[in-house]
Amino acid sequence: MSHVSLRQLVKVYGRQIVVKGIDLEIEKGSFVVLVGPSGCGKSTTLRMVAGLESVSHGEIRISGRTVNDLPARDRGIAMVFQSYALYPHMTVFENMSFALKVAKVPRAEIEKRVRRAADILRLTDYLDRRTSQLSGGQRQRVAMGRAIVREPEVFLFDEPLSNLDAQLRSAMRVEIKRLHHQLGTTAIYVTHDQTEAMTMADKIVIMRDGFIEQEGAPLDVFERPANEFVARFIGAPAMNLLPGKIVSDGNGALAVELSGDIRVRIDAGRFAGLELGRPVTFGARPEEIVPEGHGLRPDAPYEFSAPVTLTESLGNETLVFAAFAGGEVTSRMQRPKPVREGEVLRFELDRHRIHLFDAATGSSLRAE
Amino acid sequence: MAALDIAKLDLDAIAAKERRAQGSSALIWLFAALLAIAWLVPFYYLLVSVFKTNAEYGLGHPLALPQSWQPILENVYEAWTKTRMGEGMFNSALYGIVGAGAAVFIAALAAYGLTRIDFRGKNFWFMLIFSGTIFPLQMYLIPLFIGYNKLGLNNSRLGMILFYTAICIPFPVLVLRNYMAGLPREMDEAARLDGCSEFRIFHSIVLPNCWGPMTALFLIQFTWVWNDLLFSMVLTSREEVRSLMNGLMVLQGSYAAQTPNVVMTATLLASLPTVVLFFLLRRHFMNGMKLQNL
Repeated sequence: MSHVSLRQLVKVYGRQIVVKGIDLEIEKGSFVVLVGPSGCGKSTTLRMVAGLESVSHGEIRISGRTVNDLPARDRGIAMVFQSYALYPHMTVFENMSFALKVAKVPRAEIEKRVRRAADILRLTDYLDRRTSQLSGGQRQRVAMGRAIVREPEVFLFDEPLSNLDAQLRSAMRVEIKRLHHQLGTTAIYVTHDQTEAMTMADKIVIMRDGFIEQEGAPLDVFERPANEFVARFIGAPAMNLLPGKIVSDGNGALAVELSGDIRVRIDAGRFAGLELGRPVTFGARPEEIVPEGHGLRPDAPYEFSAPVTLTESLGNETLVFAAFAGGEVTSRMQRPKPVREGEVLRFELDRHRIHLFDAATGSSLRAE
Repeated sequence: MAALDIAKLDLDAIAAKERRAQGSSALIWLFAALLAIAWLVPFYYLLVSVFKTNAEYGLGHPLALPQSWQPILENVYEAWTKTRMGEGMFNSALYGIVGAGAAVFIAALAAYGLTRIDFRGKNFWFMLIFSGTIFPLQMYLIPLFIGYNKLGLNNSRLGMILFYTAICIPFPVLVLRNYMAGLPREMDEAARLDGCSEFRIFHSIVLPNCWGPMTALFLIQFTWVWNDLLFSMVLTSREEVRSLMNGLMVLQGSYAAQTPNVVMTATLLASLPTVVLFFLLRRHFMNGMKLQNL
């Protein structure tokens, strides 16, 4: 039985529908990440689970119990906010113990739980400090400590790392993940950052415009995006997408024809509904377009030459932008060498790993 | 070019140069000093007068230096007994502390509601309270007097406290509403998840973060109540309930026999509590000035 389940969840503000009927099952002990661009309804969904927003329609169940009309404090949840939302007039200890104090937990028990959480989060030396004397990362940990001491059934995270600098963010990412392994509490995590989603989730839920676009394990979503939106949103740099149509390659096989009379043969078995002449969107991730000699040579390469328009050097690799099929594609260059703009490079595109989407609806044409 | 040796930099010279660039010239200092002196001159008159006897004041030049410090004892005694200052101070303190205190607390409640709770006509209620700061206070005088007469609140401590509380509410509501709007909503939400009721959020989370402006507002309103003469004169005449400032009035008028040395001593005594308060809570007073945009 799933631990948290959302059924036909809807949120309406006035005449504006923000969450448009979400169904989601969350397993006990799993780490689920809701990800999507701003305004997609992910935070609203989380706030409904928290009890900070009313449910306009549908049902939220936690441990089999409908919680729609339960006040936030009775839902057995704890939340970590983007701004940390610490109480500035209290010390770290007071911040962490406040919920227990309100719940009239005995003094000794409070002391024990706070000490233990502080120990896990390496905050023991800071318990007497005011939160204003702490660094961003420490405040973040206090916010988590405040959630931990309550021993909730479900942890909710609302973009908790957005206020940290890049280095601290990746460190905290690992820390939260480790904490989750340690405690095993069900967690729902909201972010707009696909890297956070990919690295932390057991299950990614990609949202757009109040709907769930796709849910699944991170690699699954990455390998088999259900539509163009997910393909573009997951993975950095984003997948290359080019307009094309299905044609015959002249030898009885199917190909996708891109602008400039470019024909890339496709494995027809992997896709469904490839009628001749059907307009499609052709997709290939930057790592599947390899500058010759700078990455693994694909099994089924489609080779082409293209002039470089721009490069971005990242040290361990270089992103090469090249003019191709009337547009521009991004390619990942491993063991990079200096490349000049305008230089014509030879690329190999992995035909086994291309994606095709319906040009009109954006849905994947994948067969399975 | 030779390499820069950081250790050999003349830091004093740099500091002096930057001070010069800030342009705090002697002329500005002089101007400020003159202003300060002009401001302080009346205090000289006060200071010399309180050390003079009636006769000394009458015979000599008003600005002449006193002959001895001792007359101040006599002056204080006379000022204190003539105006029944003990009672007046007690009343003024009562009106100031209870009136301003209750007003700031009620204003905090109102500000919490106006910033944290969604209800219909929120803006209307705010404008209604805020309108209390728009009209000249004197406007309330006659209706208040007539109304108090009908209710039997004239010449009563309760009446004075009620009036001072009411009149002191609007401005703190304006200030605290703006201040509370700046406190993050996520803090309340965290408290709500931590199990707080609405009142507990107000009392344990929001209020403790508003002590600064609330103290400043209390001081501003306390000082106003302490210094108020007009309403005290109209609404009270009995010696037992009149405020300190009203008590001072016995020294004035055609039949009053006191010479200025006693009057000055009385006013000095009457203003001492607020002066002491100012020095004790200077920081909060300054914050209050900022709140008033003075």
